[in-house]
Formats: sequence, C-alpha cells, structure tokens
Amino acid sequence: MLAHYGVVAVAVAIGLLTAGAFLLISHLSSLVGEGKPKEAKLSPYECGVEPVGDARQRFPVKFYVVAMLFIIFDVEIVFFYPWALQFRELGLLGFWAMAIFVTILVVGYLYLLRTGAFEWEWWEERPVTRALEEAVPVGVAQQGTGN
Amino acid sequence: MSVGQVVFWLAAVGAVLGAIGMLSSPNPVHSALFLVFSLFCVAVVYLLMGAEFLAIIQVIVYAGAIMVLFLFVIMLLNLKRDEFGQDRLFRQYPVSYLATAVLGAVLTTAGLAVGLRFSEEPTLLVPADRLANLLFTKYLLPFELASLILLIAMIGVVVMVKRPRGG
Amino acid sequence: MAEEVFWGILKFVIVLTCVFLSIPFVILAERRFLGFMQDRYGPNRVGPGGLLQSFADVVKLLFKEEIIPAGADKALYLLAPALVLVPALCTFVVIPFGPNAQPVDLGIGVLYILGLASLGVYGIVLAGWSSNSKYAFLGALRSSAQMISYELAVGLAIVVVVMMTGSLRLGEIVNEQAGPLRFWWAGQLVEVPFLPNWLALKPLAWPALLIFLVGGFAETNRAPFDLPEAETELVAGYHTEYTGMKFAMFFLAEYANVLTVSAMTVTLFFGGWHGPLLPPLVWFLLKMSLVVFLFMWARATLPRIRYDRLMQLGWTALLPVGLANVVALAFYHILKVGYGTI
Repeated sequence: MLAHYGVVAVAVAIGLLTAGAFLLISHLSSLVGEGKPKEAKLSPYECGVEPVGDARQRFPVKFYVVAMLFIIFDVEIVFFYPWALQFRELGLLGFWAMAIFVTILVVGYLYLLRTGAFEWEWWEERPVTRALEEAVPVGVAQQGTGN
Repeated sequence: MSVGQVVFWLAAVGAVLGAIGMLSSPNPVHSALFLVFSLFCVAVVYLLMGAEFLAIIQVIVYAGAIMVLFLFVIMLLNLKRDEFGQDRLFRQYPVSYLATAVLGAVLTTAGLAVGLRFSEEPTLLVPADRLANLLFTKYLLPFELASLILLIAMIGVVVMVKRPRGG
Repeated sequence: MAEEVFWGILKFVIVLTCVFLSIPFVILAERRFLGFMQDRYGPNRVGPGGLLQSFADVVKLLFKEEIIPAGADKALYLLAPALVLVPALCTFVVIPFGPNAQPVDLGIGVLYILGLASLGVYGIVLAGWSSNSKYAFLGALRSSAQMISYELAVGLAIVVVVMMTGSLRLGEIVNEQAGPLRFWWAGQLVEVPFLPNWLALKPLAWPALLIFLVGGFAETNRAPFDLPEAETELVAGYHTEYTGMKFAMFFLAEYANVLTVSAMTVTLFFGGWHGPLLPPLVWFLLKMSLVVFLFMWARATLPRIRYDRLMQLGWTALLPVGLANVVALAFYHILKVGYGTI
C-alpha cells in the first residue's frame, strides 16, 4: 500500500525536524553564551601543534578499490533478494539460474582473492595470497597481472 | 490534484533542481550531494509507479554505493581550483549541447507518442516476488549476462589498480 | 486508509519518544557496566546510583561553546550530524515491537533498514571531510570503508533470513517464527515441542546470525570495530572537531543505531515478540536488552581489531561464509523437496 509510505514520509520529516531542533539549540546556545573565538581555539586539533598543510590530503588508492569492489558485490547481492523470495516457487529453473550466477560470482571472487585485491596491504605481507600461491601452481592468474 | 500527483510533482521538480544544483555547484563534494538528492527523488518517482522494490534498490545501490564511490574519487583526487589548469574540454561543449538537445527531442517524442498520463491506480504496489518471476523466466538471459558484466568489472578493478610485483 | 496512516504516525511518535527516553539510561547502564568490568565505580554521584548522570551530561553539552573550526566547510559541517541522526531515527518506523506496536509493515521492510544503514555513511564521510582536521578525515575514511565492506556481509545474512522466511516484510518474518520448532528431516516435517521456531535455533541460520551480529557491530562503529574513533591514534575520529549539541547528535545516533541493530537481531533471528506467558512487548524488550548487553560486554572485553585484519575479516571471512550459507540453503531445499537428480 502506497499509503504506508505516507507514514515513512512523516517519519523522515520528524527525523529532519529533530535534527533541525538540535542544530537550532546549538545555534541558540552560541548566541546566548559569550563565545570567545581565538585563532588557536578555532584551529583544527593537531596535538597542540600549528596545523601542517591541508587536512584534505590525497589518500591511498586502496580505499577506492574497496569502494569499487563494494559496488560490484552490492549489485550481485541485490539480485539475490528477489530470488530468495521466490526460490521455492521457481523450482529447478530458479536453482540452475542462480547456480550459474553464483558460479560466475565465485570465479570472480577467487580471481580477486588470488590477485590479492582483498589484502589491505598487498605490497607487504600477504598471508592469504601466499597460502593460495602455494596451493595453486603458477599459471594464468599471474600472467594476467603483469608479473 | 490527488496526493499522488502532488508528490510526483514535488519529486520531479526536486530531481531536476538536484541535477541543476549538481551542475552549477563549484564544489565537487556539494555536486555529489546534489546528485544524491536527485537520485533520491527519482526513487520516490519509482515508488509512485508502484515499483517498491526498485525504489529501495535505487537508494541502496545508487545513493548508498555508487555515490559513496563518487565521493571517494572526489576526495581521492582533491583537486583545487588552480590545479584544474585550463579547461581542455571546451571543444566538446557544442557537441554536448547538441547531444542533450537530440536526447531531449527523442524523449519528448517518445513521451508524446506513448501518451503520458497519470496512472489510474497509483496506490497499488507491485510485490517483489512478481519481479522475481519475471526476472527468472522472461529475463533470464539478461540476468545471467549481468553476472558476466560484473565479472568483467571485477577484473577491471584489478587491472586498473594492481601494481606488478616488486614494483 | 487515512486512519491507518494516523495510527502509524502516532505509533512512530510514541516509539521515538521511548527511544529518546531510554538512551540516557542505556548510556548510563553501559558506563556503570564498564566500571564494574574494570573494577571501578563508574558514574554514581548524580542522582540515586548515578541515574541522572546522562541528563547532567546533556546540560553540560548545552553550555559548551559552539566551535566551527577554521577552514571548515560550514554548510556540510552542520549538515553532517543531521545526516547521521535522521537515518538512525527513521529506522524505528518499521520495527515490530509487538503485534500492534509496529508503525508500518512495509513490503520491503528489511531492505528499508539496509538502505538507511547505507545512507548513514554520508554523515560520517562529510563530518570528517568538512572539519578540515586530519584526525577527523582519517577517521571518516576508515569508517566509510569499514561500513561499506561489512554492509555486504550483512546483506547476505539478510538473504539467508529471506530464504528461510520467504518474506521481506518484517511482520511476516516474525510470524514465520511462531509456534514450535519445525524442520524437514528425511522427507517429512518434524516438530519439536517446547522449543520455539526461531531462526537462531536452526543450524542453517547460524552463520547468518554470526555474520549479522559481527556486521552490526561494525556498522555501528562499536567496539571491537571502533576504529573510526580509536582514541589512542585518532583522538576521536570523525567527530573530533564537534562540540556541544552537534556532538550530542553523533552520540545519540550511535546509541539509536545500537538499539536498531539489537531490535533487528531479535526480529530476524530470535522470533521477535513471540514468547510464552509474558506480553509480546515485554518479550521483545527483554530479548532486545540482552543483545544491547552483548554490545556492552563486547566493548568491555574485546580489544580493538587492527585495521587490515578488520578489512580482511570482512572480505575474506564473512563474505564467503555468507555466500556459502545461501548456497547451503539452496541445496537443502533441493534435498527437501526431493527433485531426484539435480
């Protein structure tokens, strides 16, 4: 029922109002109180030292990798929900459809595991990859990564 | 106007305003947030069409995943105004205006041809299991192809990021 | 229809009021419990047994000077705590506290919670980015990467729940767990008296339960996954630069999220409000408090996990285990209905 979302909309509105009320109170308290802003007080916390450089620095690409992999797997998991709802009714067809889907997903997952994409510091110690390298002989996976 | 139509116009205008805000905002982080707002309004439009599942997936995938990546990229590059240098894309501007005009014309013609109108029963929601029945029978091939495309995306991530060993 | 909407709104307002009233006491309980675990008293001076401590803290926060750090992106700096708080509060609109105590039973209730959880990342990223502080920035980065990684595993755990109950609707998920424990064995339905039909009692849901709990801890940035605010290295992480009521918003949102995760654990795995003798609402709150206690217990006993280990746990342990759980359930179903050769 679409009307249910009326309640959700009101809930969001109440949430926004609450957050707004908090911000308003914090604004009012700064109006009432005698703020004494000083340069040292307003500078961002850096252990009592003058801040060095810009805080918004470029950060390691690995965070970017995590975000990209997250999107891919998020989309994969989204496909699971309708199937999970109906897999009893879909019977064998649904089973095989999902089996193919999951197989391709697992192949991709193993590829990522084998290339060490899940290892946070893949240029340093690589326990998972090393264990896999001992188990899986050197082959296609390595050629693909320009070793 | 019915409640559904009022909500539709609010969401539609919100989506367009969000898009305009995204284009006109000088700060890329603000742009990304405007786009999140726009996508959110589109989710509301899906909801009005009865596509409950699609609406929430729009929020989870676009707002919750893809835009987080956008924010990460913006923060990763952290370009300042003076680092942009000269805008090297100015030659593409006329082409982009032309493409936008063509797209607008195509969409308008398509809309007029179909005869856009408000749904008679806007309160009906399509349950997600009906979507499942369609997805795993009529649209089985696209579904399997999606997994292949995602596999390619995984390989793409590794190829883009992985450094050769010892490098 | 309008009546239904009216009651839904009324229920939501009541639930939200109760949440706001209970959070000060949850915070106090946690501080007293931590004191007990660490062989000290904890706050016990304000009011009888320290009952009014959290209210004293609110008064203190009200009087704090509001500081917007130099170089901060002012609009986003103010928007960030709101973006954390609003999703945390909106989750309560679908939680079934009792048979008649659920504001609305959305057709996609579980996904609604998951969607709001994924939106919570924005507030944290923007808080860290807009503060113009290195500690805040690093905390926000860590936090967002952690939250999105564990969201996947939680998503798979929810797929398992949906497979076992056949619904995305929270009310139906609870109803599926009514009555005595039932399962299929050797081609027939076996019923076990005296045991409830909770998913937590079915071995095929155990991995999902474990993943959901671990993921819930990580999604709420609570110990042992509290790296975003690891005070020994990052001061206070993404909310380092926040003072007064704006800090209170982050704090409130954190505890609201703890309550949501606890309520969801009870709803999805521990039969929701089902239970003998006592009224449903009492059962729900009883079970929920036990999960909240688990949060406190973990914080008191577990050391903070190292960041690379944290990411590895999410991607190379929880994710494959969740997937294996889904596959195992599919095979179990095939065996159950007996398709012969598959």
